Amino acid sequence: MERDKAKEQIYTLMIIFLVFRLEMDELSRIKRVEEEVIASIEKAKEDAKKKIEEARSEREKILQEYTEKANKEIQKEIEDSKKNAEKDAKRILDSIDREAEEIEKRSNKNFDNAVNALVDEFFR
Amino acid sequence: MGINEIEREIRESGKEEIKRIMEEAEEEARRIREETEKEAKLRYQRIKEKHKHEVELIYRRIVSDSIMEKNIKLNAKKAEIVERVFASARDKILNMDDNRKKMLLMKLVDEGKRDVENPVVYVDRRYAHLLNGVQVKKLDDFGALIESADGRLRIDNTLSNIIKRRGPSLKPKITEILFR
Repeated sequence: MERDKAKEQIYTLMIIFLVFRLEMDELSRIKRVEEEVIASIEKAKEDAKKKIEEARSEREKILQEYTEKANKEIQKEIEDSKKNAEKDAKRILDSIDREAEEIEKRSNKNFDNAVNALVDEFFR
Repeated sequence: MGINEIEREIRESGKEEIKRIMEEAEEEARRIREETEKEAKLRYQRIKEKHKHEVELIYRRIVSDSIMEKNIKLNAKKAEIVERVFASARDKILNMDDNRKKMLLMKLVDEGKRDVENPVVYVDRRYAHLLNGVQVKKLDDFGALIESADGRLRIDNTLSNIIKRRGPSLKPKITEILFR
């Protein structure tokens, strides 16, 4: 009788040990999974940080690009404006001889009248 | 709950956390890029606006310089023609017949005498024969020099001096006749 009871206690202890062992394995597995997930999250945080830093570092580059674009366009506008002005200025200067000639012709037509008017002024 | 289910749940919640982190990062990066783009466009517009006036000014300066140069040259041309009119008028007077010359000389003498007490009239030798009571003096010009007896007042009515004196007020009239 005593012997059977002891046997039963030994069996119980073995079962408890087996259950405990099984739970320990499962806990280790969960812990391992948790560690994997935490590592993935840390990596994601690193990637996220890099992504934001990348956007920030592009800022100066983009500002510089727009500044250069504006300056380049202005330079071209100045050059175009200068070219147009020089073209128009040439046209204006080229017309001087022709207009001087017209002035000469017009004055020739009225020259004698002007001389007579001036002489009359001396007599007046 | 079985071990497999627990594991799946842990992995699922990890995935969701990663997704949230990445979405937030994407959103922040997008916001930074948008702000940068906005600032860059504003900077671009400011630079363009600042230099717009300069671009216009370059055109106007070059064109107005040429217009000014043209006006100077054409005005010089007109002035030259007006001077030719004065020279021709002078020649015409000098080539008039003696009667006309006498009339003009008398007028110049009378005008001079008006303001001079006890006037003495001088004319050049070449024209002395046209008027009586005048004295001869080397004037090298048509016209008369009227002096008070005491020599304190002198009116120079020679042709050169009259042209010099009245020229500025006569030039606009002559210009008007020439270029109308």
